[in-house]
Amino acid sequence: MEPVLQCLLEPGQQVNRLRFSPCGRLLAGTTLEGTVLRWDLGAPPVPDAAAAKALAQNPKAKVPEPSAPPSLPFVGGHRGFATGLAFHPFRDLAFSADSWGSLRAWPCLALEPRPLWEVPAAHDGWIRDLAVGPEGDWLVTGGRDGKVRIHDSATGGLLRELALPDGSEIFAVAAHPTEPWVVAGGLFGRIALWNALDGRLVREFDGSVFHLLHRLQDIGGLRCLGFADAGRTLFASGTKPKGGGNVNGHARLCLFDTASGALRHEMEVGELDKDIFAHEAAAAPGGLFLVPTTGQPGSGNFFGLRPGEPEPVFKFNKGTVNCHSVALSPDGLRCAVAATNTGSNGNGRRLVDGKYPGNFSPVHLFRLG
Amino acid sequence: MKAASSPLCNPQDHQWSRRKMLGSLAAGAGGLAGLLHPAVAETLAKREKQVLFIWLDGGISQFESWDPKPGTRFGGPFRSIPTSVPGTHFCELMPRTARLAHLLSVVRNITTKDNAHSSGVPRILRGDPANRGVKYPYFGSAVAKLMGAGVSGLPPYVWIKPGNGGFLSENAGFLGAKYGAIAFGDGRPPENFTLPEGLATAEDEARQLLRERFTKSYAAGRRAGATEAQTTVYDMARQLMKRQELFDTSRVSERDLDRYGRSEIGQHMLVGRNMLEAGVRFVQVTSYGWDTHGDHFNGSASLIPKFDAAFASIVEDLRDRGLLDNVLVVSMSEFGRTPRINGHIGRDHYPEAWSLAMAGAGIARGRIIGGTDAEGVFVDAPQAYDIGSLFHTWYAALGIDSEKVEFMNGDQPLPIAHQEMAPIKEALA
Repeated sequence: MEPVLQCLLEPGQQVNRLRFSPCGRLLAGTTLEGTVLRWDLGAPPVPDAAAAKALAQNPKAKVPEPSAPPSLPFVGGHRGFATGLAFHPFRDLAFSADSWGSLRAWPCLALEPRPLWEVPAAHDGWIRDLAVGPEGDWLVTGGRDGKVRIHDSATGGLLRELALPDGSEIFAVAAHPTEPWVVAGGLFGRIALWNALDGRLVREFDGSVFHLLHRLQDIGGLRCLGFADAGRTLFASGTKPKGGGNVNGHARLCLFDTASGALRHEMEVGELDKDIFAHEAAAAPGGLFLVPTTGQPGSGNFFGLRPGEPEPVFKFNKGTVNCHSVALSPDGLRCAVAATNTGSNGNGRRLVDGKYPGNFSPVHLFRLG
Repeated sequence: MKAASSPLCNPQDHQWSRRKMLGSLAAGAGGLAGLLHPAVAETLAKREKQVLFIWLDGGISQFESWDPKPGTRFGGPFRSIPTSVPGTHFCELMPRTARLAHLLSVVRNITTKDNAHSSGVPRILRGDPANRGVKYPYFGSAVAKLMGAGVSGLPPYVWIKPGNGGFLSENAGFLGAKYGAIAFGDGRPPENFTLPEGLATAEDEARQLLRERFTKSYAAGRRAGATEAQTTVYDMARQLMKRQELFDTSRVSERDLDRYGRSEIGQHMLVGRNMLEAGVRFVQVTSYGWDTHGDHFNGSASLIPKFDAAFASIVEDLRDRGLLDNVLVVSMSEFGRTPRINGHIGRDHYPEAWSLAMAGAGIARGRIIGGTDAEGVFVDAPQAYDIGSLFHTWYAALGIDSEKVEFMNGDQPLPIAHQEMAPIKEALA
């Protein structure tokens, strides 16, 4: 089940998080420069319905590959890193957050979207992640300030504030697909599940594999939380750290039973010290997990993993260097992976045509078989 | 670990700061009296210039510390915060140090030559003098040679570092092994630091006399200096054995443990404080793990607040105990870090435009020297300073005329700092 590369998008910035809109028409990505990039995938989506039907009947059928979709004007206004990104499940509404603590809602398909609302200090500093509840009436954010906050999606108003029992910085949050539950994980790998409506702590999960104190540095290896299998499985991705500074470790995907909190699978992803972080994972149909990895600059792959199987279902490594995000389209037929340009690292000041270049994230748009 | 509360200060904080300062002055005076060995009190009365050299091995990022560029292309995720020097901002990860900026000189226009650790560390620590075909001493060894041990009788150059300890003669270069560093691995005293049980003091002294006679006999007829280093180290060890309390962290108050941080650098800085109070001429505190090529920003969020706690606490204590006029404090690395953020979300080595901070003896207070352009890529000042200029500055701050004073390597006179460079005048008091 090798993914087929359909097209490559080449934004001039480094992408943090990619997401498809619920209608599948928009692909958006937050960047390290405080913007939200957007691509109009058109309607019908790529591949079109006829091509999808042909592929369903014959996976080897040749269908015309679409060209790169046009980009829409980027959404500005964030400061520091633009970090979390999520869409309202039913409305033309996107939510984005940044590392200076601001949270905003904007009409996702508008040509030049103005924020519907903005909370400039939703957190004290770095908001690392956000997610939207199943009905779209609330969203959850988690930040370096150690707070997990539930906001009214219509106004941005604060509904509830939670924190992990150890008070640690929050690295990832997720919302359950059917229940009013939020989950958050922190620096030391503690993961807690609460009822978003009354703030009751429902359950805890042991993600301590994601933490290491190395010399002076507390390495928080957790990067992503999400639900699979209609919410019966909680997945967590990141790294099992081995050393700090120039962080080394081994990318991990952990699957927990949501009902009991038990760890069902702890999967090593790729190779030690080569595939260091799984910054994100996405649950695809058929029990498949899409897991891109990053390592030292120049390393990283895009894996398809199925729990219990000894080998990856696929490993794609043509240009998927230092991948930081994966997004699955709502129909489950496509995914997008944000990688990094080659030659992204190097000591000293290397000028190109007299200018000091930044890096950028090629976005790979795949068709899934 | 609980996340830090808001780093943004408000007027109440400043009121509290004053009260806290007065309180800590009182506590400092009382605490100091309780802490000090009588010999140390005597040393304090005749206080000589000392050095605290804080080395963040691997390279602290100037963006996430002294020279933030928030909201720019390479600025990273963090905000900047105002400091006690109007118009000057530090990164939000250093809230306590920001409140002490009026005590510091921060140099933001450092440009050095090496972008590799292997060549950069020795070049920086030796001051990159003109090539004279000899191995120059590290700054600590140079100070030990030029200023001596002082009246404390303790080793002139101690190094508190994670990992192994021992005597590091190679730091001394051509000065000779006796000017090397005595390293206290993990802040602990050397092994076999206490007399064996059952060995009376008188017996021990008799043994030492015997050892000295054997040494003298062995050295007779041999080249001068053949046994000098060994004798020096032995004497250092003997002196330290009389001062076991310097390593006794059980006497540190809970309040100080909290202030300095219960981290490696916090604990080592407390040992450094003991050494300075006891009159050690040159104290180096090293922290490893700053080479953040990967996951740099989360790494900085963990590392820099721990540095902030330890650094701000030692500067506060030196100030409150009246030692800041006598102790030159330098905090630096072998280089800074790249503006560009690599694919591992790290910053690589960047000697082209970086920063360091100084305080204390001979150093101007509240000075921000030089700067970089809007994105932190190029030095944006009439002049960039290399390490040679810093050595001249430090010598001047210690009262050593680096234009006139020379080392003698046998019959060969050698400059103590780069001959084509000069002190950073703005940094001097």
